[in-house]
Amino acid sequence: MSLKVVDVTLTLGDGEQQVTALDHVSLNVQAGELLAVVGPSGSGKSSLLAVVGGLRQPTTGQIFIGGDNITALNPPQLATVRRDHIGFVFQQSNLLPALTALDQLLLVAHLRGRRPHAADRRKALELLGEMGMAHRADRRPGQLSGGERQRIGIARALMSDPTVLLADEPTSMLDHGRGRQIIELLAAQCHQRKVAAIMVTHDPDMLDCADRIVHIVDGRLAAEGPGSHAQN
Amino acid sequence: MPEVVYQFASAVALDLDKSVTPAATRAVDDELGTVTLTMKDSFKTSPAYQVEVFTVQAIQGFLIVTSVVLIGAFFLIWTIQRTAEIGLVKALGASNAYLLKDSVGQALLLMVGGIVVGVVLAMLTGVIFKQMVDSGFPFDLQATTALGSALLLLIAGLVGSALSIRLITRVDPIIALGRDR
Repeated sequence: MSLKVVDVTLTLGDGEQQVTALDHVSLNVQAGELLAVVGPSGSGKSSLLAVVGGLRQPTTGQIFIGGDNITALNPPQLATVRRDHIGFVFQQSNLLPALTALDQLLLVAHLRGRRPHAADRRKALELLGEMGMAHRADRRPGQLSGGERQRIGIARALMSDPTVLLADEPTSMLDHGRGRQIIELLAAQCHQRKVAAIMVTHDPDMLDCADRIVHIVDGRLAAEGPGSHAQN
Repeated sequence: MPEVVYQFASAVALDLDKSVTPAATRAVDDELGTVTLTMKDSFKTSPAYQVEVFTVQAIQGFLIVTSVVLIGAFFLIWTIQRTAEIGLVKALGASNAYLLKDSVGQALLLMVGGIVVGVVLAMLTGVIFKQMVDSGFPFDLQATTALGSALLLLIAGLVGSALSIRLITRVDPIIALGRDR
């Protein structure tokens, strides 16, 4: 089991303003499985990513990544978990404007407090190649299209060989055709690299790329159904 | 000393042999009721000189204080502008230590560069003034003065940049998700 969420509740704010963002949520994602989380805005999709990704501590419940309980960790320990075990693909790719595509990936080595080795370079170029971005390795984000930026975002997320990959509306800034290509690439990479992936989306057309779909409404997981790529 | 000196002069310049000790001049002072000072010390007896020096020193002091405020504000704004990037890098797993080392390192590089440029510009200005004014513009930049101010500026800059450290440690990586929740 690569990712296990056990009875997680997240309340935000206090007093009158208190909101239950996640209400007793439990789910499992296997290695190599892509789970799509669908729901209207404000339903708790992002809260789920924040809690699973170690960006927010749940109010109650537990989260296991690769068998390790990350629930009780302090912020510096969570930062290490994010660095070593979690890959994020953000809504707007969130690349650093000053770095070339290759350097975005090599940043992962810098975050571990070391200069990138030749092996890091090879791996980064290989990943860019698999994303169809080898010819863009020396470009900065400003010189790239939205789809190209998102491919580089995915390559960066995979650079650290994460246990879990979390994608937050990765196609919301792209047109349908390009978005579709990106999700297919993402799904293929997760299957091939045995990464447990959660993709939050509001785009129903992307759901058939997922192995499994869960709906989230008002912080509660509503229904669960297999995607058309379902393995079991 | 000729008698006429006592009748008209309030100050005389003495060119003394090196062998004349301070004790000897003091003995003469006691006997004649005079005061003997070195040339530098004698400046201080002029109120105009003192006021002028004070003014220049005050300008120097305020320049340093202004530098701290200015450089501090610069680094603060710089940090605020980078908040989104800092949040992103934190979400990717950067520790506070990594970010602080990075920020202070860049600040240091920026300041050393700025100070070198500043000192060179100051020296050039002096040289140009000297050549423009035939009467001999009194400009003299001594190494100790230049190094002293450079060091003061560097410390001022580090104090200024330290103000933004708290800001960096407080950035919440959740902002990388682009929404509050």
